Amino acid sequence: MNHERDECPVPPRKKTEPADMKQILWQAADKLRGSLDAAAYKHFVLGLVFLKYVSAAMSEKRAQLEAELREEGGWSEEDILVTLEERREYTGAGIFYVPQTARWEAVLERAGTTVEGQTVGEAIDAAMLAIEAQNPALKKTLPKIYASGRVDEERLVGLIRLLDRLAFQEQLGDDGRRKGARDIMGEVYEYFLAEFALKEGRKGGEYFTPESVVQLLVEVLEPQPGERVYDPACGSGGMFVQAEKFIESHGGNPLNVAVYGQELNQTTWQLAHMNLAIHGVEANLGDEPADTFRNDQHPALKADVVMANPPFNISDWGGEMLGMDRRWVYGAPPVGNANYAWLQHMISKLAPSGRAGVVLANGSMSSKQSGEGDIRRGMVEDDLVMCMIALPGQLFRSTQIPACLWFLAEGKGRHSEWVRGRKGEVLFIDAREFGVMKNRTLKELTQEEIVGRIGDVVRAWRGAEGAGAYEDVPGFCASVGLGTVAEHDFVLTPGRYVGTTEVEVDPEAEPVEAKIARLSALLREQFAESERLAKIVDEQLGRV
Amino acid sequence: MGEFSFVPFGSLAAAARGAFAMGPFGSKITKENYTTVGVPVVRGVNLAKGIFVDEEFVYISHEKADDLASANVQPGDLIFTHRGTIGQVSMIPRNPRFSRYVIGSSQVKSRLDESRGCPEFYYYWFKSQYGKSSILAHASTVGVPGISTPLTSIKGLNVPYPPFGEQRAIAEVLGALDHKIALNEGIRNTCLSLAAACYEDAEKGSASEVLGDLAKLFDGPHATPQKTPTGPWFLSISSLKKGYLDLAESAHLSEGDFPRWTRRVQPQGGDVLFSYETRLGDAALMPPEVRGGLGRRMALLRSKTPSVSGTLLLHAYLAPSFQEEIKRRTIHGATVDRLPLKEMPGWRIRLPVVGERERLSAELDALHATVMQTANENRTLADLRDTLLPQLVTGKLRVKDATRVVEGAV
Repeated sequence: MNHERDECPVPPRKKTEPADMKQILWQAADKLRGSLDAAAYKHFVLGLVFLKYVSAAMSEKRAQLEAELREEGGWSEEDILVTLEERREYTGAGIFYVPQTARWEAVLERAGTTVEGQTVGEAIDAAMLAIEAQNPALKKTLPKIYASGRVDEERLVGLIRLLDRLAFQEQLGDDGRRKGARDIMGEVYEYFLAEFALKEGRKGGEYFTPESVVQLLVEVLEPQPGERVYDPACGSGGMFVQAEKFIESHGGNPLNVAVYGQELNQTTWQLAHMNLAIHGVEANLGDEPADTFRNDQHPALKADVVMANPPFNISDWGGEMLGMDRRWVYGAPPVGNANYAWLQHMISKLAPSGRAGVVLANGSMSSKQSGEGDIRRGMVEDDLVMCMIALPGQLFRSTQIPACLWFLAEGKGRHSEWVRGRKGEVLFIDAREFGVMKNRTLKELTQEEIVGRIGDVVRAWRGAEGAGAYEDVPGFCASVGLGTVAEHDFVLTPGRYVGTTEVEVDPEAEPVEAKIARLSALLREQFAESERLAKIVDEQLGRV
Repeated sequence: MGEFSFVPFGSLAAAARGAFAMGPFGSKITKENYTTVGVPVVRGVNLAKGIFVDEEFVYISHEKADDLASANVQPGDLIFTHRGTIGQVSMIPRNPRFSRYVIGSSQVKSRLDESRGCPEFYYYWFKSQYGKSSILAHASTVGVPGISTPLTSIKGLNVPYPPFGEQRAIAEVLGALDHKIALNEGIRNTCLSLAAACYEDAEKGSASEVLGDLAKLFDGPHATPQKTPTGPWFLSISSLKKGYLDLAESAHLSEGDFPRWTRRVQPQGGDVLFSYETRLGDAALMPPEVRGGLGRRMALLRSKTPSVSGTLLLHAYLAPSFQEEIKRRTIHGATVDRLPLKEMPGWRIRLPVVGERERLSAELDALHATVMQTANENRTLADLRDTLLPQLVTGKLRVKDATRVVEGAV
C-alpha cells in the first residue's frame, strides 16, 4: 500500500472502494439478522464496530508510542512494555485505553476457538465492562447484550469475522488526504446509522436527519471554535459531528468546542456516546437519557449555537403535566403538539447573540391552532426569527411530510455581532425547487445549493465579513420587515414573501393574436358542422 | 313485431384467423418493449370513456407488433376488458389517428364479419345494461376482477341478431347523437380556450385591484349532505373543469336538505365557484339556470360591481398571474394544501383597465353562453341516447324505415 501511494499520490481506484466496503459489510451483516429487530440489531452491530475501533485506535497509538520510545533510546524492554500499557499515555491523547483482554484481537481469537467456559458473548460483555471501567467518559454507554442468547453463538462469530474485514489502517481519502482510523470509522458509523434508519422506518416519530439538511443547518449557523453547541434532541449526535467537520474544514480546532446534548431514548443515547467518541467529539449528553421538557440535563446552559431536528408534531410530549413553565414566555404550547415547546425551549437556551436552527414540519409556519399563532406572533414581534427556509419534499427517508428550517437569533441587528443591521427584518428563502433526485424516492440538496446559493445569501444578508451585498431575488429570497409579516398575520411561509420569478415567455408559444384568430376560425367551422349534425340528429330521430 | 332473436357473439366472427383473440400475455410486452414512437398499445385509459380515447398511448416497435399478429386491431374491431374494469367495451374508430394498434394484455378483441354484424350496433348493445350484465355474468370472483376464460366467454355471449340493415339503422340513430355530443364538447373547449386567449390579450394593460373590493367571498358548508338520485345539484370540486361547471358526474341533494345546505350562500348565475382545499386553482362559472348548493371545501366569489361581470372575474381568477398568487399563498398543511379564505379578500388580482372591461365582458359572456348552451344541449342529447339505447338494441323500439330499406333490398 505504502509504496503504491508514493508512486501515485492520487490513487485512481480508491474513490469507490470505501463505499463498496461499507455496502458489502452492510449486506453481509444484514443477512445475519434474524432474531432481532432493526433497532436492537443496530445496537448489537454498532457496539462491535465500536469495540473494533477503540482497539484499532489504541493499536495505532501504541505503535507510534513504541517507535518514539525506541528512537529516544535508553529504555529497557521491560520498561517499554510497562509504558506501552500505561493508561494515561492514551487517555491524555484523547484515546480510550483498552485493557489487553478487551481488545478486538482477543475477542477475535476467542471467536476462533472452541474452548469450554466463557462464551464469545460473555467475553464481549466482559470486554465492554472493562473498557467502561478504564474510561469514565464511557460509563453506562456501552452495550452489554452479547451474552443474552438472543443471537446464537454461531451467528455472533460470523458477525465478528465479518467486521474484522473493516480496515482501519491509514488510507488515502477521496481528496488525497490521509485518513486515520477515526475518519474511516466515522464514515462507516454514519453509513450504518443511515442504513439502519432506513430499515427502522419511522418508528416513534424519530427521523434520521439527512446529511444534506444537517449540512445546511451548519452552513447557515457557522459554529465557531470556542463556542457552546447544544442539541436538545440529539439522537445519535449527527449534528455535532457535522458542526465539528465544519469547524475543521474552516481551519478551526474542532476539539475546542463545548458540546451539550440530550436524548430521551436509552439505546440512542448510548449510540450517541459511541458515535461521538469515534468522531473524537467530547460531549456532555447529561447524566442519563432523559426527557428534555421535564428533566432538563443542562438547566444552567446558555448556548451560542442551538441546532436540532426534534421529532415532528409529537402529541404525547406530556405538555399537560407541565402546565405553565418559565420557558413558555410566549404562551403555553398546545398539549397536542410539541413544535412550539421545542422552539421556546431552544429560545430559553440562547446565550446573548446566540443563534438556533431547527428542522420542523411545514405546519409550524402557519398553524393557528390552540394558541400556536399567538406564540409565533410573540416570537416575531420580539425579533427572534431570523430566517425561514422552505425545503423541497422527499428529503427524508422515512417521511414524505415537507419540512422547513427555522433560524432564530438573539439580539439580531441590535447587539448581535453575528447579524448586523437587520433589526426588525426576517430573511425568507424558498428552496422548494432545490435538490436533485438521489434515487427513485429520495432527494438531496447539492453542495452548490447549500454553500453557494443558500449559504452565501444568508452570509450576505447578515453582513458577514467579505460576503458581498445582499439583494432580494424574486422567487428565491426576500428580506421582509416585521410590518409586512404582521400584514400576513404572522404566517412565516417563505412562498408568500419571496414573490414569483418573472414568468418566462415561451418563444415557441403561439402569439395570442394568432391564437385568437385560429380559435375563432375553428369555432366558425364547428358551428357550421354543428348545424349539419343538428339536422342529422333531427332526421335520425324522425326514424324512431 | 317481436323482439330480436339471439345468436352467440362468436358466430358473427370474421373469417380471418384470430378474429377473436386475447391480448398478448404480460410477459410478451414488458416495459423494455416500450418505445417513444411506433405502434400504439391500447390500454385501459383508452377504453375508460366508452368512446375510444385516441391519445395517451405507449408504443412498441413495428417488428414487435408483427410478432403479436393476433393482438393487432383495426377500425371497427371491438375491444373488451377482461381484467380490471370488466364490462368495459370500446371500438377502434372508423377514422383513427394511427394506421395500426395493438391491444394490451387485459383485453380481448373481436372482429366481426361486417356483412352480418355491424360493429357499431354491437358496441351499443354492450353499452346497454343488458349487454353489460351478460358480460358481468362471467365475472370471476377470485382475486382481481376478471372474466374467467375470457375468449370462450366472450365468444359465447348471447347477442341480439336483427337483420344487418336494421343493425346499421340503429347504429346511425345512436351514432348521430354521440357525434353531436362529441362536437359540442369540441365547441365548448374552443370557446373556453378562446375566452382565455381574449382575456390574456386584454390583460396586457392591466390594473391590480384588491379582490375584496371587487367581489364578496362566501364559504360553503363544512359537511357533506346525504346524496340523492334527483333534486338540486350538489356542486363538488370534481365538477370544476377549467372555467366550466361539468355536471356530468355530479350528485344531487334532497329538496328537504337544500335550505340547510345553502344557509351560508346559495350560488347564483355568474358566481365564480372555486375550491380551497386539495385541488387548488380551478374555478367554474355558475350557470344561471342551474339550482344547486356548494359542496365541502368549495367557496364562491360574487361580483360587487356591475362593471365586473362574473365571466371577467372568472378569467381574472384563472389567469396565470392570479394562479401564481394562489401558489404563493397556499398553506401547505400536514395532510392537504389549502387557501386561507379569511385572507383571500386582501389579495391582489389583475384586471384589464376600466375602459376595456365592458367590451371584454360582452365577448366573454357570449362565449360562456355558448359553453352553457352546448352543455344543456349535451345533457338533453345524452338523456335521449340513454333512453333510446336499451329500447333500440333490444328491438322494443324499431327504426321505422330500417325494415323498409331491408325489404327494398330483398
